[in-house]
Amino acid sequence: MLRGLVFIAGFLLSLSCCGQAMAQQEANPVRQLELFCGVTLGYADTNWLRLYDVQIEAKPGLRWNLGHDWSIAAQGVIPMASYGYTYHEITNKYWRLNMATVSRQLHFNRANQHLRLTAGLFGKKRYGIDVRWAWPVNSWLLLNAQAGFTSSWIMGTDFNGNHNTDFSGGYKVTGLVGADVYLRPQNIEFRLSGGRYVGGDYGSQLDIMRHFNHITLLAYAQLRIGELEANPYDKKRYRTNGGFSIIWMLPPYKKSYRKLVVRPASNFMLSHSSRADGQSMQNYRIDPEENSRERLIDVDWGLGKEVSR
Amino acid sequence: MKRFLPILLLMLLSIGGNTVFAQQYTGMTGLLHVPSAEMDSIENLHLGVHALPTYMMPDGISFEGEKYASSNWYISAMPLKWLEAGYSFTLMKFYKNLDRNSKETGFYSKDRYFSLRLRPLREGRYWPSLVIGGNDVIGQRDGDSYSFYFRNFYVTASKHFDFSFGEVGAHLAYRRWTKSYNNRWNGVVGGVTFRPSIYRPLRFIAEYDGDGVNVGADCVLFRYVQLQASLMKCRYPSVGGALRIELR
Repeated sequence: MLRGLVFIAGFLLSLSCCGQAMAQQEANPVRQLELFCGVTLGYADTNWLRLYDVQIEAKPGLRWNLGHDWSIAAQGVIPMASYGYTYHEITNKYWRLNMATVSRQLHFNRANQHLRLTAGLFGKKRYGIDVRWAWPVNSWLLLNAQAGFTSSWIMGTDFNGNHNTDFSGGYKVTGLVGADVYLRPQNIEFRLSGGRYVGGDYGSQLDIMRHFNHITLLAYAQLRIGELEANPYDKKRYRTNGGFSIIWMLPPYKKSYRKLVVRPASNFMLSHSSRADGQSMQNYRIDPEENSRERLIDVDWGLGKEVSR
Repeated sequence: MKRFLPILLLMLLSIGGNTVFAQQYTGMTGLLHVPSAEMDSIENLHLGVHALPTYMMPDGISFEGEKYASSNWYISAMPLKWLEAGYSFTLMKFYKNLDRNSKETGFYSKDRYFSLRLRPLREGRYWPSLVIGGNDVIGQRDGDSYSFYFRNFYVTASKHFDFSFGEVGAHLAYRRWTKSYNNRWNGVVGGVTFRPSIYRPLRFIAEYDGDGVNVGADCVLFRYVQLQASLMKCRYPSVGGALRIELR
């Protein structure tokens, strides 16, 4: 565990050092604090007691853009309603800190290489470090990769003085490589990716997206590789999965340049998984407003021109 | 009557100018219980619910040996002008927690399925539009795909004719249900639609679904709301509504 913490500290130090000699894509650094709040609607079909298990959570968050592609982000989770969800008590009932990250983007414009380095507490109860890479090869092809060195950490509390925490030092290496193809006239994007996920499982995924001004329709197919965990609900092992997502970008759509911005979350995403088990091919999130439509690295490619974050 | 005139006028003004078509009970574009080759004129998203009278329920779905009326909930999308896909679930009646000794019965489960439509030929001046499609194309029930209560495949053609009093549409389809208990809806089916020129968002429908004649009407209000009402076999009422979101 100590070795992991030292590694993370070294990683954070390297974030601040390595940027000095690198070309900056951001011409006009904007220092800005954004406060926002979104809502998560979770539903699961797991039993014969009710039509759906339902969980509603408010997710207030903040992003502090420090300029020069540095940012700090945090997100809390406030449970509002829960019917039938049988997850861990901390997840289900307590107010939690879901995310707290420091992030740095590095743009090597001459080489057309882009990186995002993030450290902190991520979603899916993971903490550690994360590196993302993007290479826009041409106007229709982008290669990307992601690697993470994370472990498990969840903490929660309520107003009655109850609190709980679950901290683990067993670090895990995860990683994905992918290729994205963007057909501009049709606004259709294909994303093929594969690698090792948080559960230690392997798989590959194909996303097909149709982008509109403020909505993206996404259909995906997954192939799970290697040893499979049994689905906790029906004890079966599913090698394939599929589903769809609808990503609504919420107003205001124009980027504000005020120092302090208070707004709703940038998007609402409805996701459906045919064979969801909450375990297979799961990955953590490193941004409170992360969604399948936008990229976490600001690259001038595909829909990236619209990303103002 | 004068009091309602401004409201009626406001409603008429609020209706969009696009030629749009109403939804079938699965959320897909069509007539009432019969598919058609119409597609909406703009990419869109539908979220809706439709009441299913006992007549529209497959014989394979029963509770204690009796068929029952239910409802269908759906989300469907037209990502491209020649492609439409939808996800629906039909509520199913069971004992609570599958406990036969329980006195609590209700809609504790659902049959889920995907629908798909492809239009290889767009309607022209001299030829009809052509659509191939199906409901329940990928079965989904507890991870297995053996139910297929609503599974059917079809090929359909539609042609519209403009007159001074309105638009008349003729629709013909050949449909095949895979479960034998749905055989009564197999074969050649079709219908006619009429859209009056004084009020284009309103559409009257008469169709033959293989087992009987159904009549109904649908309408788009304020561009965002679609409503449909029908009498199946001219006897059994059914209604549905959806939120319609245009994607641009």
